[in-house]
Amino acid sequence: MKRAGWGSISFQLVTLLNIVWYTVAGVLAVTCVVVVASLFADIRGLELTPLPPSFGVAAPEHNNWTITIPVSLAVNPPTGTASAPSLGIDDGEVRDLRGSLRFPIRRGPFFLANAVLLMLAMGFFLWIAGQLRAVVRTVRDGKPFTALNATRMRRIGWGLIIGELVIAIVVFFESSYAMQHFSIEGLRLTARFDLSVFAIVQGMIVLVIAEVFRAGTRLDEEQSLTV
Amino acid sequence: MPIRVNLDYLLLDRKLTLTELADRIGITIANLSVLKTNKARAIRFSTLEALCRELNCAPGDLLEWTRE
Repeated sequence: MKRAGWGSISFQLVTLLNIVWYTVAGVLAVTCVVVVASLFADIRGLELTPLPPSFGVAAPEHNNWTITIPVSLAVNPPTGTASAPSLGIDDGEVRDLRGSLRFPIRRGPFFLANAVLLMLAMGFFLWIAGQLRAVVRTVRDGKPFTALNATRMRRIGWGLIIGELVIAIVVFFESSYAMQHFSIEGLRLTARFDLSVFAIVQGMIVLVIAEVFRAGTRLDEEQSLTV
Repeated sequence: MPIRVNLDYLLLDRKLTLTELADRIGITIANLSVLKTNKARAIRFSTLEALCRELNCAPGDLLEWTRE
């Protein structure tokens, strides 16, 4: 296979992945500096968001350093009553909510643990994105069927599956922490272990693609040695 | 591999070089070299036909089965 040109999808994908990878690497570097600095100085004005819902470092709103954690909420009746007059419904119910809880940072083990989690999550993302980058590069170069690509796809597949398990565990513990320390009027914080079956299936699909790459490598080798 | 390709003997006998043969049958020297050094996994009938035509031999003269 010949190398793909500038306008090809694989070329554009490589460019996009490079941009994403270097951006996240930059954010990770800044986060590491901030976390280390926080051990020695009083941080103000920085929002850190652990996994999920986002990996952002956002500008402060009120000069208070805040942290955002994922939470699950149950709604106490009658707070959760929902009505839709146009549909003739006046006894609907909001039962469960998933969202995020933002509160001012207090230096201590909780903030440090979340900062470390965030850095690990970004590092893990960089590793997965790096594997994908390497695969797309070989596709761009016209040599996709290599044993190394099959290994990379397998790593990505298992990474997605294990990543989803870790996210579910982290969300459970973050929600448990919130449950123990916070109270919200009309709402009840709950801790749930929610595993996304869709994400697990995605990982499995990538594992199947890894097997396709393995078979393709064998065929490519045979083809190259066919005179 | 149990199947041996006797290309070197035939080239010597017909007084042909690998490059000349490759040019005549239209495959690269690299591929012909793969065949000559018994590293090939498979050979196309079209290639076998071209080799037999240029070397004026039968497939059995070119390919030999050896017990390993």
